[in-house]
Amino acid sequence: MVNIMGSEQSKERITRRSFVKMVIIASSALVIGAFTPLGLYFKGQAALVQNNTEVKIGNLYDLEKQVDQSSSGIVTSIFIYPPEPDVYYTNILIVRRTPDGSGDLGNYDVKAFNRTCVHLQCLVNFNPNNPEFGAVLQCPCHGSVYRLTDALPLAGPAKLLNLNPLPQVILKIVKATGDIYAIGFNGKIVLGRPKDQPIQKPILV
Amino acid sequence: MTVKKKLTLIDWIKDRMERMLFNGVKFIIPKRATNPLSFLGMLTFMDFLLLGITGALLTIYYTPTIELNIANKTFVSPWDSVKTINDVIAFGYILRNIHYHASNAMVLLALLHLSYQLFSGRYKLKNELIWVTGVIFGLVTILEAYSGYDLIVNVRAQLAMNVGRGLALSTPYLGDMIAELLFGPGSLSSMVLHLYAFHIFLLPFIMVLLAIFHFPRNLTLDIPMVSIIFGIIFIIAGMYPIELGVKFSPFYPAPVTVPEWYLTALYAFLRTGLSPFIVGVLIPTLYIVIAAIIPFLDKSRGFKISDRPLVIAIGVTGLVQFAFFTIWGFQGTYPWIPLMPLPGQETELLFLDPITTFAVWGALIIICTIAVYAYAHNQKRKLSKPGAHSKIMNGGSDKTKTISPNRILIGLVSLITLQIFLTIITFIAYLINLQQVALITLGGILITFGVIYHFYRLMST
Repeated sequence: MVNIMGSEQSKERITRRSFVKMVIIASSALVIGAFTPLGLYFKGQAALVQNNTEVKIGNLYDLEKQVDQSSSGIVTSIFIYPPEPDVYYTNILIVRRTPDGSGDLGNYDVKAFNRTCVHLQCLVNFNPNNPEFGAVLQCPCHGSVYRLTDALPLAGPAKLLNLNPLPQVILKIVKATGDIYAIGFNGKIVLGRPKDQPIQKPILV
Repeated sequence: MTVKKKLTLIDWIKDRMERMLFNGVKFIIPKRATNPLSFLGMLTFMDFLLLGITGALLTIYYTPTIELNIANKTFVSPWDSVKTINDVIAFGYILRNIHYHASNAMVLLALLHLSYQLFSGRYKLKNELIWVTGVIFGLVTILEAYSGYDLIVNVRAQLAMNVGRGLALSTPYLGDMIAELLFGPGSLSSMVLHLYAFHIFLLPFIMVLLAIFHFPRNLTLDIPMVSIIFGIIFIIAGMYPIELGVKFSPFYPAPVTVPEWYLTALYAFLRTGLSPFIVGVLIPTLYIVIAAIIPFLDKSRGFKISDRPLVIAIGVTGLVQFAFFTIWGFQGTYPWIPLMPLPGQETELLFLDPITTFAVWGALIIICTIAVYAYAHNQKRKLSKPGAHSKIMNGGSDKTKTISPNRILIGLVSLITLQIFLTIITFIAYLINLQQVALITLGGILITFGVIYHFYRLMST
């Protein structure tokens, strides 16, 4: 050790006083250390995520009628899934008329996405007439724009930062009754759906 | 010849008070009008007390709980309890409006206090640590105001909570921990309960502790000015009452909303679409750190601008940038385009081009710095001329105006008449439930009291 003081006293052994001082510092550190994990109190109860619950979110035949009546050919509705009072569990169901037969169900396309924007977690809305892209999903906070068919970022911060598309809600449709069920997620809320993960068609039963 | 004074109860109490911490603080009650700029800090503290009283009363009816019924699509949130306070509870409207406007006033007063202390150079003279704790105080004040306007859970509050949590999560490595500490695991009810605890107890408690390390021992308590500032807050609250806003519901789309004015500068930067951590966390932190180290950047002994151009340049740049981006935050793609020209089209105007934004940001630094250094250079040249010093020294005239006691008495009579008149109107407003009018007249009563008190102190000296 370099002797800064320039005296010979630095070579002296640990005095009783400095030893006691070290002990009290160590003891204080232990007190702080032992109490620090109590900070986990702030974490609270983790949100309950029921992965395999099925929730009825609408009826396909009713929605198809509404689509035929609408001028834009698109009908959207907001639903909660999983069924918990969590702000990020709000999703949007989009039923679109596809006269060329390219939709998931031939003349109709049925998709659902989580509304949590991947940029800063605001909740996106359906915008039927974006001047640049037409009908899109759009964030009211910082203006990220997502494509209606697969929720890929088209413009705004989400596009600029090359973020993931919105998570897709996997749907199950009962042919006989037309009831639409949400059965799970393709991707993760807040983080989005990985870009290489393809979009899934509704499961028809 | 000494007369043995009788020990009164007041003397007995005074004697005992000498043991108290309270006694260590010296309250200066000015005998005549003094420059309010020099006691802006005390005005900020008085506003803090006003917020404490109104806030404590609001907690009686505010409920931070959330109930969601998916089958019936019903959503009960704190917004409903705020609506009850606003519309149903007697004088709830008055208390909520005072609380809201006093919070804005506190941020504004703190900002003015900081500016005055900076430009007058009061951070020197062994006040360096008081300055540093003051910067922390300002940050905590903003957090307190932010957590407060989130508690109503309207659309704006909900978006602000999500953005706040998103910024916390964007921090590398520590993101999850910070987000959980401030907002809990992420559900809306946990966010509201966390912010509620922070807003009504934890942050005010931290502020009271900070006060011990920030307040100087000599405190100017100018009663007329405090009364007038309170009166102005009440009148503004009555003239521009705050709406409840659109109730947030997970079942309905959220319209575009802009945060409170003290956060729109940050909002403008977030809208550039650059990394939220850089524009939303690192840049604000950089500003706070620069503000905190100002006393250590200034080695000069003088108080003139030419003595410390660097610090003045930092101050001017910071304030001009804050003002500019605060205004831009309310506007569209460019500062001159309003954000909401047509309903449904505003989202296109949210995006700010990052290159333009940062070009303006840089240009403001250069312009302000050059302007301050040019001014300092000019000042130095003027001072170096012979005879310049004496000119400046004689600049301020020190004449005190004296008003004849008769005039003061006539003034006092008319003022007390005005106050009686305002009180009568206030009670009529109470009876017919015109709370907005009551707020304005209450403000008038406070301002009149301030002026009367000022005349009283003029007379008693």
